[in-house]
Amino acid sequence: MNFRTYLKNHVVLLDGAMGTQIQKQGLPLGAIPESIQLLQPDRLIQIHKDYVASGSKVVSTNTFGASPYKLKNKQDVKETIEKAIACARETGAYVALDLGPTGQMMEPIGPLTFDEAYESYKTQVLCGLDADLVLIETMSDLNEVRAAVLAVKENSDLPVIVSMTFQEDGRTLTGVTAESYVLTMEGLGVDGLGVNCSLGPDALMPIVKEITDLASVPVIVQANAGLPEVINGETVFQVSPTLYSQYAKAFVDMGVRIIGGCCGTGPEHIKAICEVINESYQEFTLKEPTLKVCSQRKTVDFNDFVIIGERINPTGNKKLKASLRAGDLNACIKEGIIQGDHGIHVLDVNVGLPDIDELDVMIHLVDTLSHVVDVPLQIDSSKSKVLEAGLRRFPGIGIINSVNGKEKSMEKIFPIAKKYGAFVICLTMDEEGIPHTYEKRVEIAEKIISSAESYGISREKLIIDTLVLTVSAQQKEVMDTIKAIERIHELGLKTTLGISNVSYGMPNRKLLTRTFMTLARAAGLSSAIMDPLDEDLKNTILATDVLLNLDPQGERYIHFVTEQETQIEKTEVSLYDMVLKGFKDQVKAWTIEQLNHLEPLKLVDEFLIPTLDEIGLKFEQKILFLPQLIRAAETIGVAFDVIKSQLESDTVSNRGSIIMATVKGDVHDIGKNLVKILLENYGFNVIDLGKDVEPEKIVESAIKHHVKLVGLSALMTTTVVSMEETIQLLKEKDPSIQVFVGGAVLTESYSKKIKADYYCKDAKASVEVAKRIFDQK
Amino acid sequence: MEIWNWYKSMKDDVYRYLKMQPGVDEDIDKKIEILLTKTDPGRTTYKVFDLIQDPLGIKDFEPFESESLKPILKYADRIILFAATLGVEFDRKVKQLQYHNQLEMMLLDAVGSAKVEALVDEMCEKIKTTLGGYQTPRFSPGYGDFDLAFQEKLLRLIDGHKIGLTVTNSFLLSPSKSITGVIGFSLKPMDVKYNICDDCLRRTTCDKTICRRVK
Ligand code: B12
Repeated sequence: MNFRTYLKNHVVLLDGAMGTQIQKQGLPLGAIPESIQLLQPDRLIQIHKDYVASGSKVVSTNTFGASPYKLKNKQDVKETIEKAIACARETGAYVALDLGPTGQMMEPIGPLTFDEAYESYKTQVLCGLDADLVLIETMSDLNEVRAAVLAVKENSDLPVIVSMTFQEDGRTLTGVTAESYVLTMEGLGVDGLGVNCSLGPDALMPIVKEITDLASVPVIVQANAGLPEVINGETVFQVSPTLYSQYAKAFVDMGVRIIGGCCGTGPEHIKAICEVINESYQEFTLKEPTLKVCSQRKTVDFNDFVIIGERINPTGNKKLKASLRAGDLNACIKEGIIQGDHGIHVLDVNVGLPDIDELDVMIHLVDTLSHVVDVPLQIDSSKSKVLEAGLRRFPGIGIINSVNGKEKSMEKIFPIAKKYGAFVICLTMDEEGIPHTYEKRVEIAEKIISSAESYGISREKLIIDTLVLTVSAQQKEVMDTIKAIERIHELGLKTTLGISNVSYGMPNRKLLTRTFMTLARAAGLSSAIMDPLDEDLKNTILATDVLLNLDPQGERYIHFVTEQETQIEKTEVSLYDMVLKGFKDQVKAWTIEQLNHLEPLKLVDEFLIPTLDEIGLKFEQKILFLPQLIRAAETIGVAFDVIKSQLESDTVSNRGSIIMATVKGDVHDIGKNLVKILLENYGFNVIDLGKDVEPEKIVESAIKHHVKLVGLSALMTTTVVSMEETIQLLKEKDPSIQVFVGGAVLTESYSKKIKADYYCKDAKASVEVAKRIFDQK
Repeated sequence: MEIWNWYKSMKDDVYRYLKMQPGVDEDIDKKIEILLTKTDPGRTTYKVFDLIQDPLGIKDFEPFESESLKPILKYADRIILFAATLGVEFDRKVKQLQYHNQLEMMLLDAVGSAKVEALVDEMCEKIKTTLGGYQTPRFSPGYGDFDLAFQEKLLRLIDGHKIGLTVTNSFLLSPSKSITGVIGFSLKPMDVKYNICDDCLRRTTCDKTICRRVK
């Protein structure tokens, strides 16, 4: 009987600890535990046999650390794993290929990329195809487990059981909750899941309870024999075999199906368990899986209204477009963090721009966003490859945006959704476009649902978007969207809308948008892709829910509804004081007011720069400290942002392309940003590479974009050196490239010395240079 | 150490890293106060091994190749290997602030450095109450000529992964606010006079970033 079949109708008894047993064989201090199968295989076989004699039906191979990362070049992975399996096979029991963590921290916290983790596990799996199952254990990082599971599923047909390690606080060391863990692993289709190590059986009880309550697949528990205690410098475990077996019995009574032991347990523990549990053939009732969207720490169940943040999307957003084109993801990440602070439940990520490597950008964004934003991600792209790449990296259960009623779309999207357990936004349109009537849209929805179900995707994972038309162009059909929502809602399905589309082309868009929201919510809309920074819109949802009796006692309304923005009181404090004290709101209000009667550039020259100079001077005189300087810089940045949005012209820039960067080692970018805005205003296309930029990157980018003019900024004596290096490298690669430079430390003569073509003392001068270069011809 | 003193010395460290004093800026003082009380306490682990003097090393293990360690461990007969970390959550928070709040990132970074040092101090106190005896000053890979590469072996010997600590291929610790090190131990008093900066082999070349103990 293969293991899968056996597991279906049996409680499975595993083995106990391997490490402690090998220690007992006198393994030298610090030696690799996996060396025993090469040096003393008989001893390893004996350990396995002792377990089987005690009642173990499955033995785990001695390969916990047999990964390329841990063995390095000390021992061959293939030989180590093959020998380990051969030793385990001697017992006649089922053999579990044991995989542990790589021992490296995953990106973006550590250096290990998802693909590297995957490759490492793949190597192990391919060496271990002779096993009966794979046991991935003692894991802390959700994405590392995901990489391991995918490596097993994509390279073998072996059943795979995963086990993570939880701490007293109910989370793993990287902060994963039990709920997110269960949802994510079931989404990937594992054969069993559970916990091992770190805690004794008593302390594990609440976590195991949480998991058995949720999981629909068999649950595994391998506890330590108590918490390790250091007595006379020796680590000892205190839970006796008899006591351990009592707990094991309690676990099985709670619904645990696979039981064994971890650190400190030995054959005696297994023997004791064997005596108290029922291992005979049984029929188990199968639970329905719990289906929710989740990140590593948060789940979203769609019981309450779900706000999906829409702001990471370059369409119609000049700033994001420009930064994405320059290969700078910071603006996107910042948008994500800000939305996270504004009460979103899901974050939509769209980086669809024709002239960038969308897939690569998506991967990098997902990696970072899944760590700096708490909520689950919605991967938004018209390319199925990008959707898959994004979902593959996302530690949790994400949402796909989107599939539609076209056969081609469903054929491409549903297999991806199935593979990663994702939810899917379904647009009610097909080969013939968006139907005019609501009946037709409901029909398409039904077609999509039955297609999804044929792929084994539950209808609970579908979120139907009945498509918003603009009231300015198709006024007659606006209510069809709402009626379709009503019908789909009656069918018990989740719904969503890109709510703000409705007001496109009309004055006071926000008013129309939030009024439409009221209608949609009353019709049963369960989520919206919307701007979470629109407080009025969010308040409208809260208010509507009270009136619809969806918010008992108005609890949420009372708790969350925000007061109208209070007028910031005008203070008589000077700009210098506001900036120094970090009063961002006041600085913003002040700047807006000044712009009523002052030219933006005048404001910069006569107020902002002198203020910065004064602060810089005080810093130099050691009257101000670095944290204060940083706060001042961030605060005055608000004023520059206001000016930027005023100056931004909508004319398509085509007078010529210019690269701008603050050089390596220097993070002062206020001046550079100012120059950039002004140049853009004069119709130049500026590719902004950001701050602290390597010379190589600047050169590479100049060549790639065939740029004639490069602008470099440096504000410190120490970084003028990087500027010189950059110029030298540029001239080496292409002598025809012109360089103009600026920054407070530079002078005309110094710029000549480092071979810059032009020196600019301020932003205005930069425009003259650009004109000279591009307009003479 | 009394709780209050312990907290105060941690706070002093924060201001030292920031190169400023309390009382200069109310807003910054308040933020530091909040960060100090809010961040996770972190985790520690350690194991005790027998120490051999000649050549200096852990019993049944390869000898240390470090001159710096000799004066410190000279009178010890056992050695405590330890590791401490504030964990991944701390790094995540710093990462998040990096994108939208430079000031708080800087303050949090200083708070983290002070906290992880204090965490090790606290661990040493605890060891004192469980094991009794006497301890030498602690010494970490990277100080003096004590090779950074020892971090990997150290973590293997004490199962550092159990507190979530890993070491990169270039022997840096991840999560970033972490410390590993050794402490000499004996039941008899040890006459170790080691001034962490003045006696350091690298005192002339040090950029004072390796060991954060510069006073
Ligand atoms: C704000 C500021 C910061 C902010 C920067 C924030 C940011 N995002 O830019 C923060 C707090 C981060 C900072 C950090 C540091 N700073 Co500082 N900082 C300043 C300060 C006060 C203002 C700079 C500024 O933005 N000016 C306003 C802008 C608009 O002017 P600008 O940059 O000169 O740009 C204009 C022209 O020069 C020109 N231009 C500039 N670039 C270019 C490029 C091209 C192509 C063209 C055509 C034109 C052009 O056009 C611009 C518009 O007119 C200066 C003091 C000063 N008065 O300059 C110190 C100053 C530059 N900083 C200094 C120092 C020492 C530091 C730190 C090392 C402090 C520390 N101990 O950590 C760190 C360095 C970090 C690093 N690796 O870069 C020193 C540098 C000393 C030196 N000569 O080497 C200064 C001079 C202060 C001082 N007097 O001690 N700093």
